[in-house]
Amino acid sequence: MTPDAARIPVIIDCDPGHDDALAIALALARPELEVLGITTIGGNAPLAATTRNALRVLALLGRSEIPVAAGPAQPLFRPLETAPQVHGVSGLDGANLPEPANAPRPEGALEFLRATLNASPGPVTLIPTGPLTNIGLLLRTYPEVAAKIARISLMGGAVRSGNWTPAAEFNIWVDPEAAQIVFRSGLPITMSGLEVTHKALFGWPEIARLDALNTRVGTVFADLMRFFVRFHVERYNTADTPIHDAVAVAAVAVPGMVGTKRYQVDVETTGELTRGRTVVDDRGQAMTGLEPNVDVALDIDRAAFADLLIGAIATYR
Amino acid sequence: MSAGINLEDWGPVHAIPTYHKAKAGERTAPFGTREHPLPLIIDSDPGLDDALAIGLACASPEVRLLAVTTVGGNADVARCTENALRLLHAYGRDDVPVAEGAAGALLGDIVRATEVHGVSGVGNTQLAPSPNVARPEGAVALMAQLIADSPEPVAIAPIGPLTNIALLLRLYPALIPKIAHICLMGGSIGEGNTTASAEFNIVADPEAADVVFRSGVPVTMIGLDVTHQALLDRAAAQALRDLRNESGRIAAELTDYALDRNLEWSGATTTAIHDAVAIAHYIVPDLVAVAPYHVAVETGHGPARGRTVCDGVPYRLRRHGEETNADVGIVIDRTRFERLLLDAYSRLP
Repeated sequence: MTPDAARIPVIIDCDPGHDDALAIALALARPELEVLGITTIGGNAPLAATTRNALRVLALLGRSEIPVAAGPAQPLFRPLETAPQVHGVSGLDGANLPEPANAPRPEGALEFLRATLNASPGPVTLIPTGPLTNIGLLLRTYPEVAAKIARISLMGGAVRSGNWTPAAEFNIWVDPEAAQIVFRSGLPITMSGLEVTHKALFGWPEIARLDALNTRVGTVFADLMRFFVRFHVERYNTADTPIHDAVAVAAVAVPGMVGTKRYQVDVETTGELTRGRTVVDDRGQAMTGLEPNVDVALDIDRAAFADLLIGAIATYR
Repeated sequence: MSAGINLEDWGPVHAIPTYHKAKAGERTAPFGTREHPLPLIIDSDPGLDDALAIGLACASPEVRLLAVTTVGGNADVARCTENALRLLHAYGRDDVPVAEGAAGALLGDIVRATEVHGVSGVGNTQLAPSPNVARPEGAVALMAQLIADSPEPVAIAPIGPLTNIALLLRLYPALIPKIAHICLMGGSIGEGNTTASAEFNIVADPEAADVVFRSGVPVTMIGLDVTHQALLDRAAAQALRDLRNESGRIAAELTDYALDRNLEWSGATTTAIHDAVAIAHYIVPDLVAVAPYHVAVETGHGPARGRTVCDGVPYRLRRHGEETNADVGIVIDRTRFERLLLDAYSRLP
């Protein structure tokens, strides 16, 4: 175990969500990371469900001391749309998770983020794996805390084609204005978009390895993945399912786990067909004339990523 | 780096993969044969690659070239018109009428690509004057007359901004059933080339492109996904020069000009002959693989303006109640494409 002083302090901002649950389990298992808290947002499911799911995942992992704080129920300017067809009505369909062992923090995500960042001796890495509402609000409401943010390693966006719409990835599509605030913030950003997450795949062999752990946590995650994979089999005719959100954690925990390139990235907020598109100048800045502002993750080794995740789940009983 | 990753060898930026793609399907575009050539109108903004596209059409007995109409795009429209006249003259096709169309987009600013094609539109290449002049009625009226007079439906290959085609469709809706197909160069499923979201021909007039994709006329979109596989290099330029004819000299010079720019800008040693792919699709039935997509054009004014939003995922199409409305080019055999161009230019003067 790395001494605490050398650990990277992180806050996970998420909407669990099957792949968010794996992201949380990975972050809490990695000795390189010190998870200061989890903030939640509506996305994969409504806010009440994602908050409850975060608490249930922590109860499952035996880590209910980790504080959870809920954000607003809606994106900044738009009605919330969720993805029950992907994650089920609960947001975590397919497995028996324990009831929450704790309650969310009364102050809510915005104040929790501000206080936690201010209290941290060093800058903190934010890992948003859902819509960016909380982070956008934080940067607009308390701009001074930006100095305490070391980096934002987010799951969202795409260089080429989206998933929720042909033009946009789900997390950015849900709250494009919040995403635009984040991408224009000037903070160091690592974007794990669809190009890299579609190389971070779980299929039946990986699920079998989770089953073979013969632990309660292993079985729950195997069940969650069976549900998640089934959707991809039905919709995309493949069992190989991107574990999107865990890539954003892996990018922080394991240097070199993802290969990145530096590009200019902005967010489309006005287009009807292209709402929430991450507009990525993949010729550096040749097309926009703007300085590259984001490390865009493009590559990951599937086997190494699977070993990392299964190894993390294996640390739990 | 983890095992298995080598970003240095990961490939050029345009090798970034596109996910959620459609499966390849049967082509819907007609194609001509020597026995039954396809009547064809080219609407163009020559243009380096336009010049090669026109040469390919002029030399191919599979198409019957009814006219070349011009539109402002790669260069100012007057230059494009003069280039079209001179190119047809060089290619020995003074019989093909030329008519000038729109100077620029239906809405908004006029966009040019002279940094790519030179102010002249044809780099530094000198073209001998044509004895012909452009037809007085203009591009849209000439297209309408040719389509109305044709005993069979006419195919159109728009290889510039779609301004003229949108005007044709709006001004002469009764002629729509007589348009056999529109095989256009423009757009992309994945990358952009003029903005981070959009390809030049579409972003130069997004509203016109929107009219075309909504028109109900069968459309094939030859976008950057496939044209960035349709490449010529220095050796190909030399092979064109080695044909020892005037047309080959012109094509070689234009290709070299594009290669010089690409080398300077990105270190690339190839150049995409975008526009010729749209013509080739009408000539060779199995050269370009296509996939069915619903294509819509972003006409908003954000950074994604002019993006062709291509949906080929069946469940998403069902969710939005959309049907596919276009074939989109996805793969081309580069070697056969190069040979097609060389063979064509070997038959020209």
